[in-house]
Amino acid sequence: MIGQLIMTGIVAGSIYALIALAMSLTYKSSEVANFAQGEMAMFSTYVAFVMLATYQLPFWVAFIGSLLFAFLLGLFLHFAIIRRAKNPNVLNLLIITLGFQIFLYGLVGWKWGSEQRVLKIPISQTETVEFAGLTISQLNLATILIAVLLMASIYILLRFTKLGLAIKATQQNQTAAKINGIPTKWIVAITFGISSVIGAVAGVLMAPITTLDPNMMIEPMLKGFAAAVLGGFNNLAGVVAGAFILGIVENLFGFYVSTEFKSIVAFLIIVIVLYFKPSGLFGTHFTRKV
Amino acid sequence: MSTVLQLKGVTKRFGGLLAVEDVCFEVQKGEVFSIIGPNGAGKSTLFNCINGLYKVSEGSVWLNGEDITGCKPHLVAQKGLSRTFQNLELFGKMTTMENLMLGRHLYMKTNLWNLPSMLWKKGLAARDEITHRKKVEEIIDLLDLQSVRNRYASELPYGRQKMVELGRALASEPSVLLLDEPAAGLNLEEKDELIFWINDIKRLFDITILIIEHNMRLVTSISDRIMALNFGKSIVTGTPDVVTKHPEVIKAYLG
Repeated sequence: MIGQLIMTGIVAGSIYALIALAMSLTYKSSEVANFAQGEMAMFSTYVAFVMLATYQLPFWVAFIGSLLFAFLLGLFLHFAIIRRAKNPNVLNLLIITLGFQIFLYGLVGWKWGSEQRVLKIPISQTETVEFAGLTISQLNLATILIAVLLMASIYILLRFTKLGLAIKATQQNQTAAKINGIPTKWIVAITFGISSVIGAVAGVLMAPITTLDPNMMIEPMLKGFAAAVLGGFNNLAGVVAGAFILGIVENLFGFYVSTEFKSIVAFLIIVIVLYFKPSGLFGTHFTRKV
Repeated sequence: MSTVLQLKGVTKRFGGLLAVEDVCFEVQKGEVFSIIGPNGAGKSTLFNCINGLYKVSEGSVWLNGEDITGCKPHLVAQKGLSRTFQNLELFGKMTTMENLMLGRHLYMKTNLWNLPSMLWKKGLAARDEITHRKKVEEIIDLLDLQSVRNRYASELPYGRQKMVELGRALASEPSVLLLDEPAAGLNLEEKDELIFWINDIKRLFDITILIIEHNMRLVTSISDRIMALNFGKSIVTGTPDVVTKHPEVIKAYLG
């Protein structure tokens, strides 16, 4: 039983991990905690829905299309909104992303209404796979696999490629990055794009499990953010670990203690961790970037 | 001899303040050109104008016969101009090695679509890494950084950090190198080593060097020509002998 519970926790953890990873990536390169991350993912999921339901496109076309849209949406947020801010401080930027979140929420509600819709995907929710005595639905298995694959690609991107090096350099010292030939403005924009894509993947994986409606990402987004804080916002591996810990603990708590307080336990853990270790479980202490 | 860097009437205003006024000079290939002047004379501002961190108010900057006025710093870097800073701009959470490898960024080729080649020992990714490592090792040897190769830049003593920054600038194989107060904060021994290294760099790399420096012993021993700056204006440009004997320089700076 406990194995099964941990498994379900890992599924939830994968979603949190994607959102946490997305937020942490943009945070590291721009010092913006992007609270619109969830709504951007929700919007991109609606784009996939429209391509599937209205235009009858095959699932993979719709999926790739929505990721492409998500990337552009990330660029848009950076160039059209965040860069327009005059001498912003961290608080201003945070409010700006909150404003963008409310804007997207309203936009989607106005365009597609707030009724719950079904996102049809070719992976079954009812058929199950069994291994090592555990039962898992195909969709849940796909969720874990896709999340892990995506995280591995992000790792490879950051660790081995020219773009990844440019991202890391920009995150550490923009002036030094510039004088080494790195177009930091574009690099920050691209990290916004990548984050938005990661969020959109989470959205598309989430939608069939819950339902597709404008509220779908609010809770996962908060949990993802919480997981990022838990893991230590500026440590990508820590953030992912934080997300899995959160998913598993939450699920165990839900079964053994109380289902009603399942969501609350997440935030309880965070309060406790931050009380004893303010930079998160795996984070290094915050020092101001100059 | 050919002109590598040319400034034509460069002026920089911050609101009503004239930080740099109508500065003109030409630097020839292979030359060591120093800029001296009291604090606030506009020396660092001038460097920031040359590499594009500041937008020039009037005048133009030419690099290898090309007008680079108004170019963004990363473009200027791509055209072969590298620099160091008075207050150090290092990647603190990267090792010495990684900092120097970043200087090679412009020459790197590995992208995510080269993924298959990362798995193969002689693939593009591996060859790319090996070429750059070789180049970086040469610089590590030259600047005597072997012992701190794998230490984080932010943990190193100040003098070593300066050398890492110099190394990173060299790693990008620039045709022009701007050094902003390379000897500031170094002890006597390190200053002597710096003189030695700058001469070495000049000899080994096909490079033109501009230096901002207060230490007159260092300036006179390595410079081919010196320009003295005061209140943003150029007082005199010439060989070390001429400049150090110029009455206005003595009055404004040497005292």
